[in-house]
Amino acid sequence: MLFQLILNPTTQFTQADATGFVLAIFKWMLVIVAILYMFVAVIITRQIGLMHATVSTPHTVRLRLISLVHLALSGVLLLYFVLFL
Amino acid sequence: MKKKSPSSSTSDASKTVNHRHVDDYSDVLASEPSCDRVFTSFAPKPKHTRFESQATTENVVLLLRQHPITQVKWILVVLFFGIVPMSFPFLPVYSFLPISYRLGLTFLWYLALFGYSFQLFLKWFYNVYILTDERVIDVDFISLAQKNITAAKIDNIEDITSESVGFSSTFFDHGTVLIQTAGAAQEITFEAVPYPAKVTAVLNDLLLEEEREKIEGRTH
Repeated sequence: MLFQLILNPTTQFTQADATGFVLAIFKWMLVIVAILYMFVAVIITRQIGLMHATVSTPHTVRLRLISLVHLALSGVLLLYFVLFL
Repeated sequence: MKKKSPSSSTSDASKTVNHRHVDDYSDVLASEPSCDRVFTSFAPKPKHTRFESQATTENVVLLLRQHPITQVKWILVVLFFGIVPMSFPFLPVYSFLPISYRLGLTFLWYLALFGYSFQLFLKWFYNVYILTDERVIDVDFISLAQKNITAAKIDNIEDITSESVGFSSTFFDHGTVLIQTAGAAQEITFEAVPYPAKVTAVLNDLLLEEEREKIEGRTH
């Protein structure tokens, strides 16, 4: 929609076009946020590995599992934003 | 039944004499059972807990974290932000969005909130103060790229001070233990640890034991 408008500017720019245009921008903003968040999730997962190397406790495996689930969910969210919005 | 050779019993005896168990010289730790709870801030003789640079003969006698009451602030922040999405329908922009967007936004909000709280929990969980029968160790994780580990030998300790300031410290029995050392790390601070009096007592017991070891020639 955005590229169409740039390539083919038209005077018949309806309200529906404007809504679609705003939603398209919003979608890609959410995708960028989700990519950044996935990066944060990777850092958290890596951080647990480094912390465990310094102090090892019996529950580190459980914490790592939680961080992996968190990472997987952030991946699912990114896919949802790309495919379903 | 296998009979012990005289040489092995001698070596066992010398081992016992050289390295006494912490319960033998610390009344505070003798009265505390070995801790197997993980999410605790005061763990005497913790099981299956090891740290980087731990010597094979070194035993962890006390593992400390900040008192849970010091974490209440961020827990309340998380709870507040947990109920914020309930106010989303009242925003005019929100009602303009299709249902798929609303769903995605709410999911992102809660995931980010979980990530934030998990990160803070990890910071609390892994920022530990460790007392071994040989050293005092302060492990600080400031960020992913920054980690501070301060260690001092027990026999380098010169002065131990404990402070409990404020209503929360007195009510929940937590405080700061300042350890002055003669080493490169001039001061090690155990911030907001539970039972500061007990921690000070354990440190004094460890210090006395180190001196006893020196006098009796049991140094290793």
